[in-house]
Amino acid sequence: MSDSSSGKAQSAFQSLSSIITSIPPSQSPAFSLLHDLRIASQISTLLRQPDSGAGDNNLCRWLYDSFQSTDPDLQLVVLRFLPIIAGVYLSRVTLRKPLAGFEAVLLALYAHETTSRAGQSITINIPDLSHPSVYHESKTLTKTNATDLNLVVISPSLEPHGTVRSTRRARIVGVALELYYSKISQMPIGSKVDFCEFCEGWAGLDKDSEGCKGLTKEKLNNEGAIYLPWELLQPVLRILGHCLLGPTKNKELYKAASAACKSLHARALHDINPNAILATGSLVRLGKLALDSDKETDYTEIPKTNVISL
Amino acid sequence: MLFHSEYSVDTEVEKIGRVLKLESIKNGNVWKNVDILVFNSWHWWIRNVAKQPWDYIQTGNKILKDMDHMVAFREALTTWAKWVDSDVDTIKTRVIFQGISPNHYSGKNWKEPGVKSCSMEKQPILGTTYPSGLPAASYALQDVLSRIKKPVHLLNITTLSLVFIFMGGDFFWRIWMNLGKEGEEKEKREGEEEKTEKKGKKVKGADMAETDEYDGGEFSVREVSANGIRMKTTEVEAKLDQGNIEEAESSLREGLSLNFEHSLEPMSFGFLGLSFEFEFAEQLSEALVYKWLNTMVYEPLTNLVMKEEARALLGRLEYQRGNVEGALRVFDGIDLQAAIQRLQPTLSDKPSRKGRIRSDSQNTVSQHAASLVLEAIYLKAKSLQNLGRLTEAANECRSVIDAVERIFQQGIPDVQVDSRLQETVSQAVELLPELWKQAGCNQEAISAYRRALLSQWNLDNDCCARIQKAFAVFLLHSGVEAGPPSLGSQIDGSYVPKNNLEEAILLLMILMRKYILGKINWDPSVMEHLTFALSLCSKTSIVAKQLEEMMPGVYLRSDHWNALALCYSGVGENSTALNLLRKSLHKHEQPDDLMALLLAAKICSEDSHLAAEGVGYANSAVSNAKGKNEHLKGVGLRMLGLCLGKQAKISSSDYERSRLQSEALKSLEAAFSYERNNLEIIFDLGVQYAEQRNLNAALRHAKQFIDATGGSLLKGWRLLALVLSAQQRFSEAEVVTDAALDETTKWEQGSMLRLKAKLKLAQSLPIDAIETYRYLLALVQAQKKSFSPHISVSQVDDDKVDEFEVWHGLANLYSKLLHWKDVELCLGKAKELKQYSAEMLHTEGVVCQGRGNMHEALSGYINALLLDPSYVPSKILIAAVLSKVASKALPVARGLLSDALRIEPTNTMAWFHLGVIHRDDGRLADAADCFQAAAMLEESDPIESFSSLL
Repeated sequence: MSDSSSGKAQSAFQSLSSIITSIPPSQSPAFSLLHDLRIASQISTLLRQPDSGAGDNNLCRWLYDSFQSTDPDLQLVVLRFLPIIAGVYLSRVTLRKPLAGFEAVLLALYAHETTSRAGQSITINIPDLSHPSVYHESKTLTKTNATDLNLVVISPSLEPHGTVRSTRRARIVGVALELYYSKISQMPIGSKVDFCEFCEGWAGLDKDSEGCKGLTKEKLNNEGAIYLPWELLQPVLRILGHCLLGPTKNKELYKAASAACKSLHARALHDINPNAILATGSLVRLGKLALDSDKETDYTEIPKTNVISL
Repeated sequence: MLFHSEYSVDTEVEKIGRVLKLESIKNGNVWKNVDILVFNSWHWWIRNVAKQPWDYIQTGNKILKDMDHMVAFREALTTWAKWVDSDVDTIKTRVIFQGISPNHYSGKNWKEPGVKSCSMEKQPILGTTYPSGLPAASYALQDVLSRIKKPVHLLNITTLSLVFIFMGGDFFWRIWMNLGKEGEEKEKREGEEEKTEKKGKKVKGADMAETDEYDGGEFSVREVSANGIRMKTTEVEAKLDQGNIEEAESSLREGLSLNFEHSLEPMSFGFLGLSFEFEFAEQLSEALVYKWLNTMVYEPLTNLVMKEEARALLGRLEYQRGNVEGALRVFDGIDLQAAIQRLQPTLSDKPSRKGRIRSDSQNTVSQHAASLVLEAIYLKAKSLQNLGRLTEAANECRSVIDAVERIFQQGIPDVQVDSRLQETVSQAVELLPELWKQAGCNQEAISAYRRALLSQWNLDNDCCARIQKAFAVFLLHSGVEAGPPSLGSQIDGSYVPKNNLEEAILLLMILMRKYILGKINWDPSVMEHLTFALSLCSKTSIVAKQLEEMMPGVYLRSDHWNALALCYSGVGENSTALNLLRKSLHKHEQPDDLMALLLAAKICSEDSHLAAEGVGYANSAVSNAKGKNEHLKGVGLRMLGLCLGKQAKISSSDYERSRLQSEALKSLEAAFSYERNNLEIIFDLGVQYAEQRNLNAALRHAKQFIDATGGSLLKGWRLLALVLSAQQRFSEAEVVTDAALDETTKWEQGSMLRLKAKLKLAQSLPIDAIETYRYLLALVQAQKKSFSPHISVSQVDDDKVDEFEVWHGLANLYSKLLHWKDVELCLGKAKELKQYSAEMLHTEGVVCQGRGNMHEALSGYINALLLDPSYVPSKILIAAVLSKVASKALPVARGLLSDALRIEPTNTMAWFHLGVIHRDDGRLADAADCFQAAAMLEESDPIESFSSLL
């Protein structure tokens, strides 16, 4: 870590101490800001306060400044709280509350992503097995343009935005979530759990009684349900996929993620959105399979025999 | 116990004398249940007549005085082999056949003519082959043994014994005997007194002492009880439990050397390796040979080879007992890296060093030794993994793979690889990325996965498939961007995935292909991951392709059809989707599947000709939404409402229409009561009320929708503006459009701006309207500049300003202002973009009509109708023109207008012209009704049709 970077983290750490009540001393401020549970819970509580998103909110200011510091470690810290920011923000949009503080942070993230990919769309080429690849051979070596037809835009091009226009709101939050996803392997579990919990709320389905087997009565909840267009849902699903099936196994996260997937699947059925039904349905089934996979044979284990031979 | 049966087969005393029966093996019953059976036979077959213990040979029904001994030997062996296959339980009994000992009776075989016995020889012959070649009997033996089905271990002492001339076959027997005795003593010590067990576990060393020097070693059948491996392990384990690794090791080594299977290979390996080093300066007595063997061969062997191997075995034992810490201590005690390095020269393809003896068996022996060492490192890695020391584990595991890579520089060949080595390699290759993954070293995991998949490890299909799947899952869900594979692995012309999604999809598709080709078993998660990945890309058509390639029987066929329907519907191919849903909803399939019913109803709700069918699906969905699916009842009701509303549009009678419309509203209201916060229902209700001209209710819902969505949906703003315009509150409508324009980015403003222009015109502000269009045209130019080079067609449709619409809208505006020249100019521009369209032909007609050119106007309208038979404005104007030019044509005009009203019951112009026709025909009452309708409608006419919202 360079001096200037740790210096920025240090000063951010200092300025945070005037916002939250107790801040434990730390040798490595950037690490503490990202991983310290006491700091995280205080910031979370503040972010969930009724007036937290206002333009003059200290914490929003701090988050905005931290992100604009261009220090990668501090930017990670801001992203760590994105689930709460996005979650609280989207749930409050219809309540006519001041949200300029949240919007400033979200726009900073959006602008960062816009700059880093020069506004370009992200496309992928769906592979076609009739062409040989590094992983397989194919007999037909005919050069066709068929692959061009499989070009898919997975994230459209980005326009710079100075304010959050309501029709672009989902896109701006979606892009911020894309940024979050790109750093998700460095995010602490708590941040991901927050995200899963908000997803469950966004789906807007009430579970009256979880105890009864299979008879969970789901009803569209009056509170919480938000409009979930694909530009928002797609990055949400990618993050949930990571939480549910990613390399780090964590029981709490798994539980939160599978609950979120189930809720979003029910929501997709409510919206009769084929893409979302397919994607969330697969996640729900994969979550169940992952639960069973603990009992699967471990092929890297040596066979247990009574006769050991040289 | 020694059992003296020289020929394995029976010798019976009959009348004619002693008969050797080549096809009888009665003695077998006595041997069957012992622990270890060691057979040896041959010397007896080459006895001279005086010494032979039989008088006749019986083969089949023939009794012969004598025959070719080699043939007889082969026959007897075959009988024995059959007996082993049929009578011996090789799980309980280990069968060993000590190979042919060459006769050391003639010195000429080892180039010392005149010598009659080997007992005076003290030095081995140099070289791995015996000068006079292998005895013929050993070929017969190998031949018979190769055909035996059960596991019989051939103790191939032939070459060994040939080279070590001083070791007759008995030499090995002597080792056996001594070991057997030890075992017996140990048994006594341990006081296991159970008679039945002990019966077969004794070695009578005394028997051997009585026999003469050569014959004594050639008892063809012996029953030896070495300590069984389990006994040994308990002893070893006890020592391990005391933490005494050294003792455990030595006791294991001691125990191991009892077991031929175990000691043989390292022994021969050691012998071959050591043989050239022997320097016997002085002659040793026979008695000293054994001692020599112990000190000069066993010990170095034990120390050089057995050290690692014994440790490896010990470690494995500990590992299997679940004592990974103990295993690790054992593995830590030896330098496995050094052992690998020691093995490498023999394993590489480099020419052998001077004097080193090479043999055919050397390669396999080395491989075996290598596999033991590698397995030990592998187990070390596993132990570390179990202890959670993941990075260390990964490094150990990688060293296995590195070693293998150095040994087999050309990749592992398909054949001639020790199966155990291959197994260790496969496991290590599979384990390494998992370890990195668990250690959180994502980049290392990615390179380990790629190394596993892109190098030649000779992995079997299942193992390769498991790694491919694990990698695909990692790429999809780790959130770590892997970057494209290195250039080194790229082959000319082959496809190289350039990001995670591409690589994951490629791997999953390859797995699907492998399954379809029958190379691997079905794994449902592969298809699920692929579905997830492709739906994220909104490319569900490719999921459909994969599903279609799948063998029937994997999924229930109705589920299969439903999944396909979702895929097709996902890419907008709704008619294909509906056909599939019809199949899966057939009464013999799954007519009650809620998802299928809802999707079918939704597809039908978008087409008025399918709406009636959709009503059926929606009703069924509502009645099936029970139990845990009760939450979908509201969705079913919503679909019912939408289908009814759509059905109302094509109903032939007013009565029918109003009935359907009120039912539609009732369903939507019911749906709303179930799902208070379902935004779509609010919007649907707003549109439905607006279409029925219940403008106040429509307005309420439009406002509610904008509130609930936070104004994030353009259609909400449009609905509100149109409802306000229908209420003739134009200035308020304009405020709404301005607010909407504030909330949108410029590329999405096209439809709002056109609405605004129309509102301006409605307020008699044509200049402002034209100004609005001018802005729109500037937007179009800007859009062209910023998007022209790289834009895919699909993206334009949604949210970009449609240039054709702009020109056409402007043309309409000018035609209303009667600026015919400008209209023509705009139409020309529009024509460049879209040559034929009903709207444009219609507007051309309007221009002609405006200039008084009735015939051309008429042909323009008719052309528009030919393009779109349900284009209402043309129908109305044709009727208007016809009613003016010819009174005979009034019935035709009336027909056209009725048709127009069927399509658009609320069209003011149609009602007006119908009234005119009625009036001209003298039906004044009807005319009055029509004019009244027109007047009423005009008061609630939106500036754009409400149906443009859907």
